[in-house]
Amino acid sequence: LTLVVYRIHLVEFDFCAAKCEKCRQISKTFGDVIRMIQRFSLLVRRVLNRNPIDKIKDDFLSIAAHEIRTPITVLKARAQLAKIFYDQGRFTGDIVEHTLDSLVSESDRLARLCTNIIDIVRLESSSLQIFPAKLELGALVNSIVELFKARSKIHEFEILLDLKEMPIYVWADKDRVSQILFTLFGNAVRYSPAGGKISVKLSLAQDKASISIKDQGLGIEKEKLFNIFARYYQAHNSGLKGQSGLGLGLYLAKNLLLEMGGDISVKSEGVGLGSEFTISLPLVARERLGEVS
Amino acid sequence: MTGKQILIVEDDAAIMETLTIFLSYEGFRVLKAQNIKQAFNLIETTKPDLVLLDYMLQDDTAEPIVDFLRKRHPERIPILLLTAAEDPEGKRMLVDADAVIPKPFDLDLLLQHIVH
Repeated sequence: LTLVVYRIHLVEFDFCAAKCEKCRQISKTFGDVIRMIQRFSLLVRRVLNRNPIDKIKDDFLSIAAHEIRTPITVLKARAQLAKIFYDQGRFTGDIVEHTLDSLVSESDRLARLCTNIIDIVRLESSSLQIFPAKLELGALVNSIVELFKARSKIHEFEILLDLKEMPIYVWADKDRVSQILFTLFGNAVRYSPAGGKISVKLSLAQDKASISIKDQGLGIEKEKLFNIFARYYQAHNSGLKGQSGLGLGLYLAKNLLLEMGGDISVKSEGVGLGSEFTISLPLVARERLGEVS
Repeated sequence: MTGKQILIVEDDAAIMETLTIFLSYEGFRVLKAQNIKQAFNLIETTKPDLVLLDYMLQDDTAEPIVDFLRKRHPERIPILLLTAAEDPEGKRMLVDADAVIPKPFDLDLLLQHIVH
């Protein structure tokens, strides 16, 4: 990680002598990435210093390192590509736009991974905090869908949104619900085929509201469905085989939802047949609605 | 190797796109597979000059792809393995790849491996 930080610093400072606006934006993005990596390194050092590494911690660190290397790979390669094009006077127009979109998208992904990793450490040490409040679910889903739609320039996909039941008020922590939705949308987008459709539906059932996110991606083997929310699932799946990138985010999503009185479930007809994740959250109770209105 | 055909097997869309831009810029023709089924189809219908293969795919590891490639094309097509795993050399030996490139990789180093 130190080497990556060093190389990103090199790119950041060598990038553009004139410090034009576009390059300043890229520089800022790299700066954010450096801070995230430093924060992550510090956290890992703290964990290592506090307790001896047992098998669970070893699994956790292996998965965390594996997941974090993927966005770093893209950031590093994109920066190198930008430098190649810049040196040839071709770093203009669409190439700049596309590079910035990709850098921002991968920086966001890295930031979310770091947040998830930090939250899992807190969850394991029973120090994770949840701040529930009255939350209009449809508006939140809509805003996150809009953010993902903006990214469809980088990876082609279509989101079909069904919010007929709006408005729906739930009692939940807005930041945590956003975090969970980013994990689910992120997985749906990342593993969808080009041009794939992602259906999002908000509905009511008794005292719960639910959001389902259905994709046309790679799907999940039936025998793996049961374990998919288990702690560090990948590591227990014979040497990191299959379902890469899903282990930490889904484990955290399940636990965050349980903390908020909700839950998560998954359906898939099998490999190649897409997946459907459904989360549920408690509706605002009538008396609670009176308290907060 | 310029002008030659490279098959990229990578499940991460952002890495796939970055590799495609870079290798196309360097003059290679690029074939893309995001999963094992697509990789099998391309290996069946084409004969790439080199395969750039991510070790851990969404539906399995790279092992079945290497087995299929070796059977379909007995003349040894070079395989460069990409991996974010802790023990890259161990993964290379596991699938009998010709070389392994750990993630995050350097584009210059990647190009050197491809050319040589």
